[in-house]
Amino acid sequence: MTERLYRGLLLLYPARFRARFADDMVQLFGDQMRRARTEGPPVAVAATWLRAIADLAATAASEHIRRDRTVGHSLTVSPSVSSRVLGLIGIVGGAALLLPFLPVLIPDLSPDQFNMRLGLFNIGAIAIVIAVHRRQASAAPRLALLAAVAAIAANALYLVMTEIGIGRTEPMGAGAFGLVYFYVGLAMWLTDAAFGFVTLRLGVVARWGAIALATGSLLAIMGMDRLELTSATNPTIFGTLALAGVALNGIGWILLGLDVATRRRVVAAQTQEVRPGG
Amino acid sequence: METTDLPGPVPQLSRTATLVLLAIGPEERHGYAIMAEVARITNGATRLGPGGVYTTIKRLLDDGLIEESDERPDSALDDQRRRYYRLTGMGRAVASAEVRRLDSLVRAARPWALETVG
Repeated sequence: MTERLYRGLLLLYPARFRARFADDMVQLFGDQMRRARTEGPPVAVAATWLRAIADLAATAASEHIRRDRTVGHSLTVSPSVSSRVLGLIGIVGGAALLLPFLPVLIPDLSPDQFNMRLGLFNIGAIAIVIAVHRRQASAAPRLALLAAVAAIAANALYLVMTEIGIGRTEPMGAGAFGLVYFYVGLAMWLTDAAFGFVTLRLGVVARWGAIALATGSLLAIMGMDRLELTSATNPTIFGTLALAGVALNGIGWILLGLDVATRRRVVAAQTQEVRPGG
Repeated sequence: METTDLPGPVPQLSRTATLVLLAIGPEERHGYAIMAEVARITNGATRLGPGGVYTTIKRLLDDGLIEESDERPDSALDDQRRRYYRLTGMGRAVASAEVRRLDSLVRAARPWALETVG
């Protein structure tokens, strides 16, 4: 009867934890109660019950909070210096992309300033892709590498294009240069989105950062000049969606940057060498 | 028992995780024995309940610091349903590192701390 009541209370734990340990916990509690009855003073049974309820309340709550975390919750180390640096560069890049959304703080940018800001954004994106890839490469080596290489290549190409564009008198989208610039831009948004989806699927870093990056990148495509879905003279809903997408993309890089710069790493899986004896 | 070389700085374990690792030590112990050993090595100052024992065991299993033992004691001596746990090579290395860290702290504090108390 006592053990059945205790087993009922174990419903407070997550189902997966219960499936794994409920029988052992009931057995341990039964041992405690038997010992309290046979060896303890008259109040020992009541004291054992009280301690079990306090223990259950504290540990069931904590188990619910951390059940989705990766293994190794107790065995983690701070992010490396390189992760912190890459994360910081990514945060700056994401913030650079968001600057025009703060017109009160930032006045209208000249075309060259606009391109320099995009360059900063591309450098930040590349930094984050490298940092995130280092974390998720072991989860799915080929998929992670494919997504990372594509995103780095497209962002690097876009960086080159925008830096070449600094000082040009013609608009960026004009002529043959503009056509190449369009396709490189399209490749950048698509590979950013793909990287976001892969990161979301692998689940190694911040979920919300990956979602913002993936959806933002896809939405941003709607604002590309040559698609003619919207323009400065004929603004449509696609223009608004594209702006929201650019903002989401910037937020995504910032969230991922915060994650790689601050999240503690699990080291238990990094076993290198086993030697007998000891 | 095997010992594993740790790749870098050894992270500090939570107090409960450390106690459970030390309670298991070189033996193979089941949940109740771990709980009793924790109470013994802390002079009764720490009394874990079933929840404290098994949430910590789960974490240590997931971390690869302990593993379930396949061997069962003689049925005449113990309940065959009990699950026994032992340290892995990594668990032994982490426990050793934690003991060295605590030992260093104690040695540093002993000259003045014990005099103050005395």
